[in-house]
Amino acid sequence: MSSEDISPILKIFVLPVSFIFIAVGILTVLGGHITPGGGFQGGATIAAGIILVILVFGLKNSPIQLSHRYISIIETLGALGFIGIGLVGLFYGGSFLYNVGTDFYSIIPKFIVNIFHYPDVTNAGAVPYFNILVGLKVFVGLTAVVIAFLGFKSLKEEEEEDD
Amino acid sequence: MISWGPIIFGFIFGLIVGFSFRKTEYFNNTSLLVIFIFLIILSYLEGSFPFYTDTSFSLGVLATSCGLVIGKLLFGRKDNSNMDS
Repeated sequence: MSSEDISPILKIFVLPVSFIFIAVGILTVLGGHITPGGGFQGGATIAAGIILVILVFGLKNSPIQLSHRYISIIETLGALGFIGIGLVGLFYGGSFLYNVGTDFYSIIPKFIVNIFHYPDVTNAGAVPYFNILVGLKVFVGLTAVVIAFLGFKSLKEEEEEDD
Repeated sequence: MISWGPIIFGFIFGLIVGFSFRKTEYFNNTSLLVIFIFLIILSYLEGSFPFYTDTSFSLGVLATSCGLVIGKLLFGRKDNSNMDS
């Protein structure tokens, strides 16, 4: 079934639903340090909302566009940010991914702790930042898989039409 | 006591996702307003998640909704160019 055959009712319905999916996914990412869930689960929920829209509208007419540049920037930001915060822990705390925002062993300079301390009352340190970066990476990664498959499919259909 | 973490990072995350929305015939600014009202109701139903705010709204959902809507309004005016290249 092509995207032109999909009912307009479904097309009107799916975009508000995707907003709710995305909002709940981001909330899962933000609450990952004190509630079940986290970066991967929240990112997968966001990706589910976007994939739903892309499947209903098709890649060509989709109201959500993840360009190659957008995907590469967000993926790079997620991966490098994660490694960067981990390396800060290695340089200042002596171990990779040491929680520099909480500093349980009091070995980190105070200004570093202040930079990486997540502003809430739970004293979670750098863990929410890891969740956010993983969430960004997972949401674009899972969506990119679906976009790639749909792109391959449309290319194959074009080749068959040419033959 | 308001925790600024979910508000700031929810807004930024919502803005990043909102950047990817594009213009469509099924989705104009009026429907965006309706969705925003729905998201406010959702944040009320969510309660004070993640459990450490004194408000009856989920401030993370509110900030995310604002980020999504502002991202859509700022960058959602262009057409989809997925199949251009």
